[in-house]
Amino acid sequence: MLGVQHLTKHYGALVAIQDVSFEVRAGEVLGLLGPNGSGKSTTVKILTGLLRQTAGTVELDGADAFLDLQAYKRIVGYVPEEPHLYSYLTGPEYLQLVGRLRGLPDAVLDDKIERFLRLLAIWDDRYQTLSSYSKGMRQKILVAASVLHNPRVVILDEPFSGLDVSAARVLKGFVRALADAGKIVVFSSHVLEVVEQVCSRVVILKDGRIVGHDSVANLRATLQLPSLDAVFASLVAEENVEERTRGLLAAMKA
Amino acid sequence: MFKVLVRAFFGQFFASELVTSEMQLHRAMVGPLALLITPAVLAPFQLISAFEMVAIRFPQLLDPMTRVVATIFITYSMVSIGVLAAVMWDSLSFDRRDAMVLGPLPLGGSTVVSAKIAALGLLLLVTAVSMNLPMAALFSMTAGNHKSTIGVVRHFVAHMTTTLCAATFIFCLLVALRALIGSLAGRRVAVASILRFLLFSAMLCFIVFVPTALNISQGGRRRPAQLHMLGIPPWSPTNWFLGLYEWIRGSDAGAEWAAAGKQALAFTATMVGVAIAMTIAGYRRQLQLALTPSASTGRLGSARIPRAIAWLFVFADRTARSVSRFILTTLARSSPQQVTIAINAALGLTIVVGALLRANGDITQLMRPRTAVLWIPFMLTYWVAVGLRASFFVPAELPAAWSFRFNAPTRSTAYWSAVRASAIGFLLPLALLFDAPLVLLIGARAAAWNALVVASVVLVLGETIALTVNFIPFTRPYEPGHARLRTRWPLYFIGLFVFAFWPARAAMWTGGDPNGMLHIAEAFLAAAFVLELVGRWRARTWSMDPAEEFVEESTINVLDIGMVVPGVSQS
Repeated sequence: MLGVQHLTKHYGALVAIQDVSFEVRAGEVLGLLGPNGSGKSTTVKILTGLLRQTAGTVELDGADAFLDLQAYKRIVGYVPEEPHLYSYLTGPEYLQLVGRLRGLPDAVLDDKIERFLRLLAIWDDRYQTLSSYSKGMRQKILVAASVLHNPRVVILDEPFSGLDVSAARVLKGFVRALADAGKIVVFSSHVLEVVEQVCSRVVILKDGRIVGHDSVANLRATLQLPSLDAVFASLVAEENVEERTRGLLAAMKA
Repeated sequence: MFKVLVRAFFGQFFASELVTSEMQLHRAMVGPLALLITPAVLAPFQLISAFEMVAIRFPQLLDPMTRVVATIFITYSMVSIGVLAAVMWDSLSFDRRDAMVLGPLPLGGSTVVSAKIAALGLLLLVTAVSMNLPMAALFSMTAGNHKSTIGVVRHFVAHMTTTLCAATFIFCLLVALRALIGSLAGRRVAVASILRFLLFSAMLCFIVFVPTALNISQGGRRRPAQLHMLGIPPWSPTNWFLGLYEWIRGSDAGAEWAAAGKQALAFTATMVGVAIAMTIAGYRRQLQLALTPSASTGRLGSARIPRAIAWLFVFADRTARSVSRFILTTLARSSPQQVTIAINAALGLTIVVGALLRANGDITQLMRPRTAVLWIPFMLTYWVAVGLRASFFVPAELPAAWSFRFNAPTRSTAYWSAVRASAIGFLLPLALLFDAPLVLLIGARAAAWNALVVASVVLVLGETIALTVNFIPFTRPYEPGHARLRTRWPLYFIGLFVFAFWPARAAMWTGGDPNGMLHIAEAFLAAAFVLELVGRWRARTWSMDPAEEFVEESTINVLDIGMVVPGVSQS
């Protein structure tokens, strides 16, 4: 079980997240929701060990996960929000780099890479450098790189960004299958429909604090609202939406 | 709209991955210009006394000396604009950024192309005038000191016209070449880097060449004073432009100079036309290529030989093999790293050319191993090694460095091992390539023994580089001034002796005796072994993590993926 206790992160005077606590069990997909600047990405980066928290702890099976950061990273897979890759490498070269850094044997790695590339429909583009890949293709490479080493914890930050409909459908199924296989999955996204379909429970963040934390069904029932979209709008209190819409139109026409 | 585009294109000439703010952009603009203008300002002052001495003591040499000095200034104008164009190589044509930004805008192709041509013209005008105006003003006053006011004016007009035409010719040639390479080779960076290496070498060789090119022999009772200069081939563009200079200046043998001068004007006008035509013709093609880059990485881009050599040094260590492969692939495919190496390699080539010029063109000296040539591969390899180490500090696609921070082990001796193996893998083929021409000069046997010593020096160089780098190359932000050349230059000087002069001298002492050469190689292998032990011991402290937690906001730099790098000021 992956647990976060009283997590707080300050960037100088800016408070990115404050007193965030939640748990994700094996076989569960936890959705992280929130508007821009709510602290989702900061939370994800702390969970991956890329960023250090100001206060609080990240626990794996009840023990501080960062006591042995290297061992923790060995069991975590991560798809970052932005597809930053070495654009002068080809897709297979990038996957080989990641796989070898993770110590996978060459024979196993080559087989895995070929299978991933074929299944993700980028086998024909294997000789092209990543600079010529579309955003969706890069995203597929990132997804493949995140699970090459069969991680126990999978952290996905906007993983469907740029993917076409069929690839998104396949990956939605894959995320569910990861959970069914007993993995711990954290799924951060802006797309409420996808979160509703994929996640067992959701954590809704606003201004760095948790404003909602439960299963989608329970949140809907508690707030007596028909959809996650309505729950989200209610909890993050998007004010003056119509007024702002009119303002935008006026600015455009000015 | 046209003005906005011209300004944007002009700003692009000075932009780079390391330039992140408007202030840095201005600094980046001033730096290269100051570097190129300084010799232009100082040269005339240095020439005044020599010129006056000639005017008083050897008046018959005044005319030839004016011609010789004009030749130097013409060459300077051509070489310096060439270096500037090499530095701004990528911006001489349209790139992916242009395609992405300009593509969706409702702009006609003619507007975009004419704005690009106008920006190129503006760059040429600003730089060529800045570089040549001080020289023209000072030199025409010096050279015209012994003539009428009209003579001074003619000198000035001749100087400015000639040097501007020469600069225009070279600049347009490179713009046309850039458009051609952009159309045919797409984004292949190796061609551009080789061209840059040649242009940097040409600039540095010019600086070395000038003092050795001139030789004034004083006259006596039986012979008149004479001025010698190393010959310039008749086909050389320098000769056309010298003809133009003499034609405008109105010197003797007018018809001969007029023919060369007209040739210069015709070639310059043709080259301007070719550059404009190539830019127009290449516009669509280059935009398409920018949006759909080359599908293949090319033969050079795979770095097979260096990777195979590096593999021998990392053995079965997968992490080291992965990192060394990353390093060598980056060196083969990333332009900023190649340029850094090219500049340093050009320094080495300049030293070699300078030394060979001291042989006064006596090619027979090169046939004798004791005199000249054994040290050449050592010298070139040393400077490539200096460039290689410097390139490690230049980031390549920095945001992608998260791949290492997240996936790679936090602590591992594999990183040191990979740096060492990559350095050796990169340097060894080049060192042997530098040694290969010696076969023609000193014979296959002597060249082979020299190659053995060069290879052993490469091992020591690789170990030394690995000792001075404590991170995975290309994955950290560039820290301006980290090289500390003002205080560390003696180290590079000592390195020159340790890795170039002394090994060559030792090889010469042996007189080509195989046993002696073997002993030298053994000595270097022993040194490499000691450095290997030190490296392994030191590698235990290597870490992917920052050395210290940050304390103050002003000392950190937060990348857009949220990584924190201490000790780097916020930009």
